[in-house]
Amino acid sequence: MTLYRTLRNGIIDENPTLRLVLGTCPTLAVTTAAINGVGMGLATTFVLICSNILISLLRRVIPDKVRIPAYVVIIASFVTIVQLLLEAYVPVLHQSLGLFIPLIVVNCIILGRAEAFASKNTVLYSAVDGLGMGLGFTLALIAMSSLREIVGAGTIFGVAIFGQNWHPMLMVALPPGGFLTYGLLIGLMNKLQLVKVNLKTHPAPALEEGGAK
Amino acid sequence: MREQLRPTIVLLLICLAMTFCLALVNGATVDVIAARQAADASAKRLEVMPQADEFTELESAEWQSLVSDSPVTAVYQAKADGAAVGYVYDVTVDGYGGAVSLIIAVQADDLTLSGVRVLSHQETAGLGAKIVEKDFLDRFAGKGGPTTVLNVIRSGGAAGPDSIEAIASATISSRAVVNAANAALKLSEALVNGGVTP
Repeated sequence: MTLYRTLRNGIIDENPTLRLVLGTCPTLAVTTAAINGVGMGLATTFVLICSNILISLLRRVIPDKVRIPAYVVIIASFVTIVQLLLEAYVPVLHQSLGLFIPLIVVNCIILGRAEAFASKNTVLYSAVDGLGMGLGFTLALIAMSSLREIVGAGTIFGVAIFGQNWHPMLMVALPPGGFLTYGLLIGLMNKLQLVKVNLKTHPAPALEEGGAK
Repeated sequence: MREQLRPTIVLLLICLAMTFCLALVNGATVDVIAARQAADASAKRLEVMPQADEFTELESAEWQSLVSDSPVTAVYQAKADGAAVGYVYDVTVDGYGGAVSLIIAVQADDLTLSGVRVLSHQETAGLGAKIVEKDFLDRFAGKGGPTTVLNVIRSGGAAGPDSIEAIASATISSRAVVNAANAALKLSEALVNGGVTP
């Protein structure tokens, strides 16, 4: 697999949020505003790249029996580092993401990539896989949080985009709207993938001789 | 024996190395975080009591005996040019989704509210979370006075001099802020009557 394929794999073909349906808890919880989606996505990407690199470096050192505890220690440490850095230098984001930063530790995307990819591949490929998966997660969160913020609050990145008379559909910003938006996005992604597969396996049929049936 | 020892040692080394990294990052950020939190709180105190230039925290022994079951967690005396102008309180009350922390300022001369700000909350986004908005918090400015207890009225209801109009569909969150304001007013009166001059 080429580096480009590895990157693309995370963003599109195996998008962790919309194709593998991993990390649903942060996806549903933080996507009420677009800025939260960006912050959560980038924080997760950072942890994903760092943990993938370190786990790939140590893949011959870590004994099989204790690999999961070793991964969890490494991931939890990077998450705590991110949390401290955010609290010190981006307190606004730290306040709005709050509880969900420590939850990155148990985000199954990160442990999943450590187990399925970083523990079997070279450092460069693992870093690219982390970047691709992280970007895939970030883009999915941005798509979902933008939709929810526009429809549910009438703003995008906190800027009002509709006039005074716009009444936001509040439900979309609340938990039920999260599930609905998530379902619709997964459906859309499946539909697009299906169209692609169909085009590959069943190319447009040539016209039969003799015309219409 | 050997195949049990190696995993243990490797895991121990990984834990040690990561702990060392964490200690480094913590050492580098702990002062920045503390300074930022202190600056944030004092900026908010200045916002609710703009005429003051100095805030000194009261010892809890000085005020805790005056009121029972108060949600107030800290009391600051606000001074301007050395003369006392009011009190600023840290208050934590129960909202709809959990604890709501506020900063509330009360003028010393007429015991009216000078300002209310929300430090942290977990209210519902789009409904109760509107308690942080200026539009709602401005409803408190100038309210209060000796022996006054503020009450909450439904959004759009008939307003009296001591009533605060609730945010539509967020009466519980609105009531939490009003409860905090009442606690601050009650304690201010007790402080003045108790001889602890601001």
